[in-house]
Amino acid sequence: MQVFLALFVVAASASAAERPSSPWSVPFGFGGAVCSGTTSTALPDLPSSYYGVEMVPTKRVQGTGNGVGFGKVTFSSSPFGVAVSPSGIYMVDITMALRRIKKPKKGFLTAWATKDDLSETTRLGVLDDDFRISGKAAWNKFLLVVSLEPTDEPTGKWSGPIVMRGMSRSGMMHTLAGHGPYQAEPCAKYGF
Amino acid sequence: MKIVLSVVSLALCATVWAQHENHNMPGGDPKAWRMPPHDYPMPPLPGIATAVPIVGPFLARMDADDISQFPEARPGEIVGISDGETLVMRASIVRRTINGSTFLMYGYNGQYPGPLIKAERGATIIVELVNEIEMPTTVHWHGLRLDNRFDGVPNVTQPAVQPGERFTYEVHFPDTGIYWYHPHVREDIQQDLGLYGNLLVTPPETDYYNPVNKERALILDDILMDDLGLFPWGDRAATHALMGRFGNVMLVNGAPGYELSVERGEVVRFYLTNVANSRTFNVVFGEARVKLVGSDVSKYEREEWVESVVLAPAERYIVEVLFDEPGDIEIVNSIQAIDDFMGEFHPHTDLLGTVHVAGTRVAESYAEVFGELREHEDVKADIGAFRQYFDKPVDHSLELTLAIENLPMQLVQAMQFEAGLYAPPIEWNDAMPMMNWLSSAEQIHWKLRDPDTGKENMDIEWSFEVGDVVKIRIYNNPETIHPMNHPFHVHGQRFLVIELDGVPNGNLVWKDTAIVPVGTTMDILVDITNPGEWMAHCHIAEHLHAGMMMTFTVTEP
Repeated sequence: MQVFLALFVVAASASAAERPSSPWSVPFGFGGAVCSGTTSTALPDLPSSYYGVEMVPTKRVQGTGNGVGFGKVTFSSSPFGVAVSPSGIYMVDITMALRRIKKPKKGFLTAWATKDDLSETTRLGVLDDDFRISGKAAWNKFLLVVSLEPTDEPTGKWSGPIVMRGMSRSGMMHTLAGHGPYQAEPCAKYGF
Repeated sequence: MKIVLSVVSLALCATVWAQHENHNMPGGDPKAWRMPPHDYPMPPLPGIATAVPIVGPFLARMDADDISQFPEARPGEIVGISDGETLVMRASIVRRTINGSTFLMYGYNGQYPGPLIKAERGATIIVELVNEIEMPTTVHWHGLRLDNRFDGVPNVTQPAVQPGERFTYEVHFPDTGIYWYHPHVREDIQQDLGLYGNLLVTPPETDYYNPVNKERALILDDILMDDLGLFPWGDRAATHALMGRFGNVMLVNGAPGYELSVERGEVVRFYLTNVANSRTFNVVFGEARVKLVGSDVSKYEREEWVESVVLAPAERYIVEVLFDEPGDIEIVNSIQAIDDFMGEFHPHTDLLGTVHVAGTRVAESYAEVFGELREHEDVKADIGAFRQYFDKPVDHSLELTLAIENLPMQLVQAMQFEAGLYAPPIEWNDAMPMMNWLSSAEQIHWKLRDPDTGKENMDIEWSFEVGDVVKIRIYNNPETIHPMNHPFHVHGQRFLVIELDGVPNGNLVWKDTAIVPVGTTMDILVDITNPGEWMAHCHIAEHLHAGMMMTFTVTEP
């Protein structure tokens, strides 16, 4: 019976005492080693940037080639904490901020969110004087785009040159074919 | 050279055969391991295509040759019970038939789910548990702020109840709402096999809720089956320790295909409870209008219209739904599933049930009242007293993370490849069934880590006094080898989710369980009211059994 108990009971005694003592110093080991992620000694500043979008310049517009920027992504307000649409797509708020760029002499720096296949686009608006803008997105994968538009009138899609762009974290999702344990699996077989 | 090659080949074959020994093929022994069902086709992992978990398979009463000797389970009954009354609950073996397969499961009082216990707020009842299953068990009264002695945690609040033995619980109902009960011993098995039921705590006030035509409690669950019947669980430790065990057959109140008939214009109040081991549901009531009223331990400060209801394991939500158009309304779980091998999203729905709306109008319609959104002044006043603490410094922090050991190299490689790319905030489906199945609670160590002390899980020592209001910051570290969402449950107390990623919560509700998505930071404010030694843990059953639990102590001042 004692053995039976040991097998089945969730117990305080079935605890970390039997577990490896300090796995944090062994990042991503193999075989018999304990593997873990990186762990900081303190929690990070709020909010998490894991799902954030790094903005990269295209160097096509004068004064923006050294630009850096970031789209902070948080869940839209929801009584459930996690905001999803009826079809299960995450609904997020985006706050974008750019730095190290100069305001063009002509035109308006305008931000857009667009589905990864560009089939749908939402105009977030013209960046303010601090090169900031907020908006929303609800696609599985999306891109953030800043373009130089000739007018500040709302339009359905950008017409000017793209100044900076970035991809949602979900855009990094990738087939396992041809990678890791499936390295020998030809990805062309799966349409890649 | 040929001889050497032959020897090596023979050795490899022997290894593969040893792995294959219990790897039953279709048409074989339903009590043996076989490849788990997949939502999406995926090539077997090279080199370990025939591997099985390091733990053995488990099914209820595997030793029984003749399952017809066990009674057939019957649908759960509603048991109204008054203060001071006693209910005997027998956890026993029952026979079930689901989707044409007949097998053994567990049930309380021979029912699926267990009886819905209905009591008035403030009542205390006696429940006599009789253990007639083959393993130790307990009953945890999820969400109730009851006496610590009766919280049902083995080796913390009571010894586990051995097969053939009894335990007497005093169950007190201090808060109105919908709660549930389940074992706290191998939940991954016992709960999945049917040991769960609802507790409906009714208010003495007649206007506590809106007037409705019907009330229904819906317990949402899923169970993993294949052509041979129930897919086995791990015997000495849980399988599916990475992502938790997802089922592929959706159950409402223990059975597939829930049905409800209403007349046109009826308003129905649904009490939703998610008892699945790991699945988070996104419930949609067709085109019907849905009003969100309450959650775990209270109503919301104000009612809201919602288009779907997101329920993590162990969470409850109270919604009212107006069925204003004749016809069939499908209740579905609607998600964006991930095909892990292809790296793609797929829209996916599971039918949970159907509401048949008749053409005849209901005699007494509450549609007009339904059209208004109430502010719950009682809840606002209650929560208002805690607003002074919203900006207080964080008292304690927890980081949610994991360590792995002795997993097959191929699993580690796959996880490493994906870890640097994208982990979804919520795992809505089992995107990697074989890898998940092969990971046991002996190889995966999920962790609650206190960054201030470096202590983890049951080594964490937090002490509070009754009357304390404690701010806890929970960070779900996305930079681990396998990040995952975690529904965080606190026993014996209630809490508010005051911020998610620094964004204040605009409509508060008292909770006992809240989901922490990957990469997010959640601040909760715990109202410490109840003395004793209490658990806090992830409510994904397999994560709990992979170590993701801690205790904290509350003393009288």
